[in-house]
Amino acid sequence: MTDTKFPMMMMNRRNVFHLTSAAVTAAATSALVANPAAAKEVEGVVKRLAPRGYDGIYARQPDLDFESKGDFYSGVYMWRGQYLERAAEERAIALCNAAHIDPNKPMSWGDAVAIIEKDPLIAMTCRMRSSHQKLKYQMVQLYYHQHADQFLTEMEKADKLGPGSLEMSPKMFIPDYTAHEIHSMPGGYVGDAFAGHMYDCGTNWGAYVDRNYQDGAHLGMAANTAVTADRKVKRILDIGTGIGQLATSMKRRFPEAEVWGIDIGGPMVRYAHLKAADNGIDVQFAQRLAEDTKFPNNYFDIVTSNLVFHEVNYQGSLDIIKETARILRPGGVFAPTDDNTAPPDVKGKYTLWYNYRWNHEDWYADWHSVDFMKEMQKAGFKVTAKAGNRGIAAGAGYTAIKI
Amino acid sequence: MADKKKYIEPALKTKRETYAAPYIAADYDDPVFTSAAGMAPTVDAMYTSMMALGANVWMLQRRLRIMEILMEKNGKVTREMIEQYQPTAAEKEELQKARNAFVAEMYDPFKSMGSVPYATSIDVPDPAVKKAL
Repeated sequence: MTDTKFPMMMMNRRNVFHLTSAAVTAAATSALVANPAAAKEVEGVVKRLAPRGYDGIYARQPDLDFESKGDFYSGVYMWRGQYLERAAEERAIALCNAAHIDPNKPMSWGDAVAIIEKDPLIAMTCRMRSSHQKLKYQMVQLYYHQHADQFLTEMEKADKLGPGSLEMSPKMFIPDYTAHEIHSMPGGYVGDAFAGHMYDCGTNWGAYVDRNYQDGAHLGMAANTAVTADRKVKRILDIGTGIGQLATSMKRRFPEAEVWGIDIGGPMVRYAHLKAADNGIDVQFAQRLAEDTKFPNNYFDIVTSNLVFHEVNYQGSLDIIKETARILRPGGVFAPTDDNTAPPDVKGKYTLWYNYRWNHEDWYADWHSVDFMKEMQKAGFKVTAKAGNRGIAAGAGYTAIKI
Repeated sequence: MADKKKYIEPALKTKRETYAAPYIAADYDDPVFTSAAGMAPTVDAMYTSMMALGANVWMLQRRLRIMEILMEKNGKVTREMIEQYQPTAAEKEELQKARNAFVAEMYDPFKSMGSVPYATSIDVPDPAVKKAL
């Protein structure tokens, strides 16, 4: 159900002054000169508040102290990954050895929990993960709530500008599984006005440890995405697009293509549009469900997804695979990437348990139980995977071609 | 199917359109881990406090470093200059190194805990000493 649509054709002022391409700059300037009314509107709206300017394509954090605390959380995340997790790994192996258990033997999450949960170092590792999530999200949410008026105004203005477009559907049906407070982010993807802002900070200060402010990770994914055999790519869809980084990266790789990004999280997709338009990237964002995209049959040449399926319940995954098969044209490519589901040892198993139970990745067990290879084949894809059924993990992914 | 009673309203109260919808809150806001390892539950809170303290100390250190850079460059500094300052690539690298050193100083005591036997499980290597014990 579509309630609101904002068509976008304005030129982004920031484009005019920040893009390096002389041709683009000249064209943009010319468009503004030719249409003074548009220029006036663009003048007042297109640039993000960005009170501290930009670092490349990234609008710097709105104040120094906020940025510095985030910087500390990045450092802590990195240290934990480099040192504490290794120490915990050693400890887990020692505990297995003491109990005469092969740490690499196939075991359930429950077995892993029973072996290592009571160890102080393992507990410290979990504590550090949870404290990191709690403090960083709390800080971002508090900041944006305290400054809600100005940042809501920024989004309201951006809603109506381009390039690209934004379709919001505040009255649409939101399935229960999508409304969970996923990975400890307050309100999850649907329940906070600043979910996109929280996700952006949270991932840069977490999983991407400082290295994705310029969307480098997503540009890499886009560069590695398989292309249709006939090399014709007119339309691309990124499902569960979140804050739109893969959608915009695909647009940058295929500038002539019509690129869409959809997500059930209204505040997420709204922020995605804000960022994309601010950077002059023409992507159509819409608040829609991946299992009910509203697109015609055979519409897309490529459908991508990143870090989506581990946040979808079992039935939702099957429905999304079927829907993707419907909207891809024959020969079209489905390119999903996601978390690795096959950590080999006791510590890896325990970490999965932690993420499921205590980091509120509520659909991790479902994610692990879906046989993606089989379900994709059933839906009409010819699938090749570099790493078996669990090869959906980033970097080892599927190439799924619609037959 | 989730229990509808768990749905709660978005935290931000405003009459403006936010596109936020009711959501299903996590069942635990902040679980306690260390009690499983026999420690007082308050130890968890202490770990979190320590991290929050670290964030605030680094925040001050970073501000101070930026003030010093500005003083060196301009001989004067204002609050606005500090807020707006864009570190150069070299300064960014230096700041990151300093941050990593600070984090390491805070947390490195935990680094070797994986391979060191815990006091309660030390196996005395000397048979004579073992016998004496």
